[in-house]
Order: sequence, then C-alpha cells, then structure tokens
Amino acid sequence: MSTPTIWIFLPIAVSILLMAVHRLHKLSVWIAALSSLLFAAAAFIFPQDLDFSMFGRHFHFDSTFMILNRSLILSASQLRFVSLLYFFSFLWNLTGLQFSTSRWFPTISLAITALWVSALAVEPFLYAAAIVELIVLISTLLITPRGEPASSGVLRYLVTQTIALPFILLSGWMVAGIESAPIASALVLRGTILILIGFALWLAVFPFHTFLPMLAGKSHPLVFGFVFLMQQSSLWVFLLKFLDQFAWLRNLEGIFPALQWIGVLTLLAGGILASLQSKVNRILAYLVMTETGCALLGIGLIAQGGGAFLALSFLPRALAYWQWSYTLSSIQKIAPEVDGSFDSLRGLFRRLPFHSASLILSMLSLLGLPAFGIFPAKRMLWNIGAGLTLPYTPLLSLAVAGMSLFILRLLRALVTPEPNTPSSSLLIQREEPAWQIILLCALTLFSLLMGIFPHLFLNPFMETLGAFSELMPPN
Amino acid sequence: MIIFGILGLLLLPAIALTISQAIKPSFARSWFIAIAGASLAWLGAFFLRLYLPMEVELVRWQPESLYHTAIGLRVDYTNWHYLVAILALCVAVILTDSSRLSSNTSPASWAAILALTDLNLISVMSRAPLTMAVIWAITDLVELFYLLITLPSPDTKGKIATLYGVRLISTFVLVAATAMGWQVTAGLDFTQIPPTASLLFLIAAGLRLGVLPLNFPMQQTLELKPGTELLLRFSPVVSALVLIAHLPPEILVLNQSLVSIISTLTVLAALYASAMWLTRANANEGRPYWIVALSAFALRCALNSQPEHSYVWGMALLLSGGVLFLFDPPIRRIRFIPLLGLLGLLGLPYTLAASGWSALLGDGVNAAGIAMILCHAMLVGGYLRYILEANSTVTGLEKYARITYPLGLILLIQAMLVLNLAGWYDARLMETWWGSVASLGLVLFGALLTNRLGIRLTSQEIKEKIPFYRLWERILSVLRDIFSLDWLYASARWLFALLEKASAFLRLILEGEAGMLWSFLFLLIMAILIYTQVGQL
Repeated sequence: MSTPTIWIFLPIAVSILLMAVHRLHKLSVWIAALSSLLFAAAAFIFPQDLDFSMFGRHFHFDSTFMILNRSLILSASQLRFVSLLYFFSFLWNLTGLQFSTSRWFPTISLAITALWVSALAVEPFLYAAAIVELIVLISTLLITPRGEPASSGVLRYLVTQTIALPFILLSGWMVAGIESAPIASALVLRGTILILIGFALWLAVFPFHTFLPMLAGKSHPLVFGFVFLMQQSSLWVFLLKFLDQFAWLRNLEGIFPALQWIGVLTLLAGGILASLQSKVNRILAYLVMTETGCALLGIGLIAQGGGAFLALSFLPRALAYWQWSYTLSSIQKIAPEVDGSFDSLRGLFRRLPFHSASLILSMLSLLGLPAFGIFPAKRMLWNIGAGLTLPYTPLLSLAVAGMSLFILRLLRALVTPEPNTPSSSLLIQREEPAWQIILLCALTLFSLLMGIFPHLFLNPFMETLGAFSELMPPN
Repeated sequence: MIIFGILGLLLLPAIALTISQAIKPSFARSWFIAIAGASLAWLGAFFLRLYLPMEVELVRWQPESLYHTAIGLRVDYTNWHYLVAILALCVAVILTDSSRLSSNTSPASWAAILALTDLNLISVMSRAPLTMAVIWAITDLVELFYLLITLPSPDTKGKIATLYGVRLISTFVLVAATAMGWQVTAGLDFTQIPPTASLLFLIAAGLRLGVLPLNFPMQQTLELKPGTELLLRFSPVVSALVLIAHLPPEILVLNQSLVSIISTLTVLAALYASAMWLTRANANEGRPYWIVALSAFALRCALNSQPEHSYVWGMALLLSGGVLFLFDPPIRRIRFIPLLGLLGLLGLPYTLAASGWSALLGDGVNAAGIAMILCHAMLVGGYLRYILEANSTVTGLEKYARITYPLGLILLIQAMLVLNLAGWYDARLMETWWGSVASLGLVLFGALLTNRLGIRLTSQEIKEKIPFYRLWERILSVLRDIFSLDWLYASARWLFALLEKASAFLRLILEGEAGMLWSFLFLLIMAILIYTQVGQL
C-alpha cells in the first residue's frame, strides 16, 4: 500500500462510485463529505515515518507509486497540505445539501481534490501542468450554471488556463539540463519568464484576472469559492515546488523581488477594483485576487519569513471564503430577489441581521482585522513589509484601503433601507432559522478563536510547507 | 488576580442580569445586581492602587521566535487613573439612569453598560499595542452591531457605518504603527514604543478621537438612553487617550514639517471644537465638541513632548464631562454639584488639572499656547453656561431617585478629589499657574462683557447686540463649513463617482468580446519587453 493510493486513487474511486449515485443527491453529498473528512483526518494524523501498528500488526506505507513510468510521490511532509485540501472539500460538500448547486458537485469536487493532490505528487513535476489542465476542464462543468450554456467567462477561463500550459511545459523543455549553465545565461532568463507568465495566467494575476469577476458574477458563490480556493492554494504550493526544485530559478537575481512586485500589484489591483464594485457576487473574485497578491508577496519574501504567512493563512482564508460563499448563497436562497447589486441589498440588515453581519465579518476577517483568524498571518506579512526599503507600504495601504472602502459601502447598503420605507418596517424582522444563526455565530467565534489563539489552531499547519527544504531550511 | 476580579465583577453581573431578566424579571433585583457589581469593581480599582504596577499575561503565542507576541494586561501609574474614571462613570451612569423618568431605563441597558465597561477596561489595561488593536477591533464591532440593532432610524444607521469606517482606519493605522515599531523591538509593549513609530501611534489615536482629521461622524443619537450613549461615546476615547499617554516624549525628533502640520491641525481642531462647545444650545448637543477639544489638548501634550501629562486632560474629559452630561434633567436646586465638576477642568494650582498646563503650553509663550488658553477659556465658559442655564424643576421623582441621582454626580466629583489627592504627585505642584489664571481671566472678561451687553448666546437678541453680527455669522458659517470637512467628503464622492465610471468603461473593454485580445496585447507587450531584456544580455 502507498500513500498515493490512499489520497489519490481511493478518492478517485469514490468519485467514480459517486457518479453512479449522483441522482441520489443527499446520499452522494454525505458520501463525498464524509469520505473527504476521513481522508483529511487520516492525512492529518498519519505518522511522519509512514509506519504504524494497529491491532498488533505492523503497517508500512510507501510514499511512491509508479504509473506509466512516472512516479507519484506523497511524502509525510506533504500530508499536512493534503489534509487541508480534503478538509476544504469536506466543508464545501457539507453545505452542498442546502443549496441547488450542480448535482455533480460531490463527484467532481472529490475528483478535483484528488487531482490537485496528484498534481503536487507527480514526478517529474512538470507533468503537473497537464493535470492542472485536466482539473480546469473538469471544473468548467461545475462553474457553468445549471441549464445554461457556457458563458464568456467560462470560455475565457478555459482559454487563459490553456495558454498557461505550454508556457510551463516549454520552460521545462527549454531549461532541461540547465543546472550546469552559468546563472545569468539568456536561457535561464527565458525559462524564468516563461514560468512567471505561466503562473501569472494560472493564478489570474493582474492583468490576466478578467475571467475571475466574469465567472464570479455568473457562478454559484459556493462553487466559485471552492474551485478557486483549491486552485490558488495548490498553485501557490506548486510555485514553491518550482522554486525549491530549480536551483537556477531560486538563485536568479531579481526573481524574489519580481514576485514581490507582482504580488503587490495584484493586491493593489484587487483592492482598488473591489472598492469600485457594486455587485457582491463579483467581489469574491477580487478577494481571490488580493489573496493571490498576498501569497505572491509572501513567496517573494520567503527568505524574510514569508513562508510562515503562507502556512498560517491556508485554514483561516478557506474558512473566510466558506463563510462568505455560504452566507451569500443563503441570502440568495432566503431572498431570491437579491441579485447581488447594492440596490437589491438595501436594508437587508433589517430582514437578515445575522447574514448581513456574517458577510461583513467574513470580509473583515480576510482583510486581516485584528482578532480574526487570518490576522496573525497577515500581521507577519505587514511586519516584514514594513522593514523593507522598497516602497511597498503605500501600495499595500492603498490596497487595504480599497478593500475597506468596499466593506463600508456594503455595510452602508445593508443597513440603509430605501428612502420611502415605512417606519413600521424599519424594526428588525428576523427571517433566519435559529440553526443558521447558530452556525454563522459559531463560524465567527471560531475565526475569533483562531485569531486570538493561533498557536493552538494554526501551528499544526506550520508543517504544511515542510517539504520545501531548499527554500525554507529547517531551523 | 485583582484584575480578573474587577473584570469578573462587571462581566458576571451582566450575565446574571440577562439570565435573571429572562427567567423572572425584577427591576429592583436587577438594579441591585448591577450597582453591586459596578461598585465593588470600582472599590477594587482603589485596592489595585496598592499593587501597582501589576501585569497579567493572558496568552502567549508560541513559538516565541515566530510570533513574538503575548496578549496581556498591565495596570501602571499611567492607566490606573483611567481605570478608576471608567468605573466611576459606570457606577454613576447606573445610579443616574434609573432616576430619569424620560429615559425608560431597563435592566438590559445596565447589562450592556457593564459589558461595555468591561471591554473598555481591557482596552485601557492593554499591555501592548497589539493587544489594544485586538480589543479595539472587538469593541468596535460590538458597538457597531449593538447600535445597528438598537437604533431604528435609517439616517443614524448610515452615520454608524461612517463612524465604524473611521474606527476601522484607526485600527489599521495602529497595526501599521505596531509593524513600524517592531522593526526596532520585536514584540514591543507600550514601554518600548520607538520615536520612529510614535507619530503613527499618535495619528491612530487622533483618528479615534476625531481630531486628526477633524471628524464628527455621529453627533448624537437621541434614540439611545443618555447614560448608555455617554459610555458609548467615551469608550473609544478612553483607550485612545491611554495610547497617547503611553507615547514616548521624542515625537519632535521626527519629520519636522509633518509634526508642524499635525500640530497646526490639532490647534485648529481645538479652537473650532471649543468655539462650537461654547455656542451650542445645550450640553448634550455640545458633547462631541467637548470630546474633540479636550482630546486635542491631550494630543498637544504629546506634541509638546509631555505625553505622560495628557491624562490630566483625559480625566477632565471623562470626569468633569461625565458630571455635566449626566446632569440630566438639569435640576436648578442641585446645580452646585456639577459646578464642583469644574475642579477637574480649571487647572488652578493644587487641583487635578494643574500639571496639565505645562504640557499644554509647552516651552514659553507662543501662538499655539495662546490659542490653547483661549480654547480652555471657551470650554470653561461653556461649562459654566450650561450649568447656570439649568432651570428644570422635576416633580414626582421616586424617593430612591432623590438619593441616587445626586449620588451618581457626587461619586464622580469624589473620584476627582481622590485622584487629586492620591492620583499623582504633579497635581500638588505650582507649575505654569498663569495658564489657568489667564484662562479664568478671559472667562471673567467674557462673562462681564456678555452681562454688560445683556447677551445670551442662544437668545435672539444677540443679532442686534453684537456689532457686525451678520459679518461674524458669515465668517463662523464659512469656518463651520470648512471644519465640518463636508467639502472634502463631497470631493471624495465626486472623485469616486468619476473613478466608478472609468472602472465601468475599463470593465466593458476587458470583459467585452475583445477582452481576450487585450490580454494578448498585454502578453505581446510583455514579450517585447522580455525580448529587449534578453537581447541586452
């Protein structure tokens, strides 16, 4: 038995099984959710030496699985991240019951998770580009709304992601055997540029981000949140893998400042564009953009401790995305007339106070407001940024200000009813079920607990990036 | 342990009140629980004085090498006064709230008062800026949702959103200041703030106080009960004042032009706010100006390199202000009680604010110093005016209210006296005594002049009695328009609308049919740039 069998082939097998029962929506959702939880828990508690004894028997797991003369290697150090990916799948599947997302969501979400794990496990790792393309193709089934033709956003997503594929593959081909070449050779530079463009397209870095808001405006918030959370989280790790494995890449002068600048510009563009938005559905796209910007900045600052930011931020970011997507989906279910525009949200606080508060709080959490889950991680990034001589600080401040402005505009829209609303209907009239109130409060409370006790909730994920020993040498 | 005891004495009664009201409502029992908890906590604060400085570490984020952070509380000689003042205010509010016939007081509001005071105390006792930022964030959110749920008026809700915006910015400025500070000392606490970061800390406090830039997003919320509202308005102010008191004295070593700009803005804010305070119809209407004017005094102390003396004006803001604002209904027969509140503001030798003058006026006499004396005179004048104008005669007060209402006011005055005697040594020094004398002289001159001319600031006759009244009115109106910063917000809105249009146009291009072509164009441009770069190698 090998670790790839457990966390790649077994989930794919479950996913194939789910195809057979996809019409039994509840059953397939429960199977997908519980199996994801099981895979996440198993990866989280799996021993570091891949050895354990149970019922008097000794089990040893291999970390390598050979297929078509290629290897799938899933070492113990990668399992923490694998557990995170399956935990995300569990979270999103759990809410699948409540909303009319695609009937194929449980099947495809599990398959996507397994494929992302395989993309991170495949060696030579350039083959991962082909797996990423496969994931993109499968994802289009989810992000195309039920019963509607593929929108221009979906097509653009496909095109952009497909263009990235040759860039990554070409870079691998171009720089094969380059380890012995002088560090400043033109070949190295070309290879680096190809890699950067490939990742820029994959990660929807500014100015290649246009498909994100188009997709977010049309897709179900939960589906969009899931697809892009998985994509960005995995691709950041994949980028780290590139930097870790290609010595010529990480030793190239200017590569890390370049990543910092790309990150800062993406963060800035996300913040400013978000501030000008007046449709809440599209805002998740800009949140994805700003988080990508932060992550790239963190990777660019890896020598100064940016890796810790990345590792500590995976879980709180996912929870904030989930809270946002869940709340927005729930609002649109309870009040179908809400089309996402500010006008349709006017005075919603009166009807759905807990949902409205949850929207605001999830965004504040992503913004890095003190006391919330992502704050300990973001604070590290700001602390590192403040110590740099490069003029990042004003740009970072502008990005935070842009996002804050959107939050305040949203808050104003939520709490200010239409001018002619009769005074009798200005009082709070709750239309939210008690269990949803409890769920939303619990989510916020958990985020607060993560923010106040990060050493209890987030430290276990510090090992997530332990596999990149060249980039982040162990202390 | 004492710190936890004080916090528990507020939190537990708040929970007990809520539960007891839900199970078996009883007004008397609830009142007793609230007042007992608050009074014991207040007495506990005096007991705490014996053990200063006291420090409690709540949470340490491990590993130390990664986080360098411990969330903790500390009570020292800088923030203990604020602790006493907040608790005194809490007791006074509960005592006076129950005596108001008009305010329809309820046990729920006492529970809110206790919980709010508890949060306030944690904020005041923060050991490090990061702890303060965390508490600011939580307190602001609690206040935001409390106000949104309590207040039905749509206009007020819009203002609440604006108010929250200012608080949010101030929290992020505090976080940025902390990040700057960490470049010098990782995991710094309030005793280690470096001068390089102190200006950002000052701006964070100034924003929260409404001084930098001058902002009055929420003038008054009439829908709230007076006591609760007073605590809500004072709550962000107190922690910002504590932050100022903790700043290092070396602010002036920083960028001189920036310090000059901030200094000028502070003086202008103080002048405008004190003039507005003097001319409002009643004390409640003038409350935001009172807060801004005395906050500007505290900021001036920091700018004059004596931030440790800013608490003098902070105490005046809370205690003297508390007495005046809780004097509602303003019963003529007992107006001598709030008059005693002036003790905390006058700054005469051997009184509470005596040591504040040297910090306020700085070295020697200059224009800013004169402006500050003028501001002080206007504040004192306004204070006197609002008390002397008290002419209510309330009948039908409950028996207990005849005791609790004045008792609440006396309690604040008593807090002033105790702080005067035991609070700090400086209060008993004869320093810069001429500041208070000059200010009192101005008040007397103003009083005589208005008396001579027979002017009452709110009367209609004023138009006829003041020479060139229409000119003055016009000048004041222009100044009011400038300082309200409405023009700035209007310009920002106009600019934003313009940007929105530009963004919509850009979106149309990028997300339209030709959007992919634009992406390719970007790629092409990048390829050309790359080619040029490679060619140069």
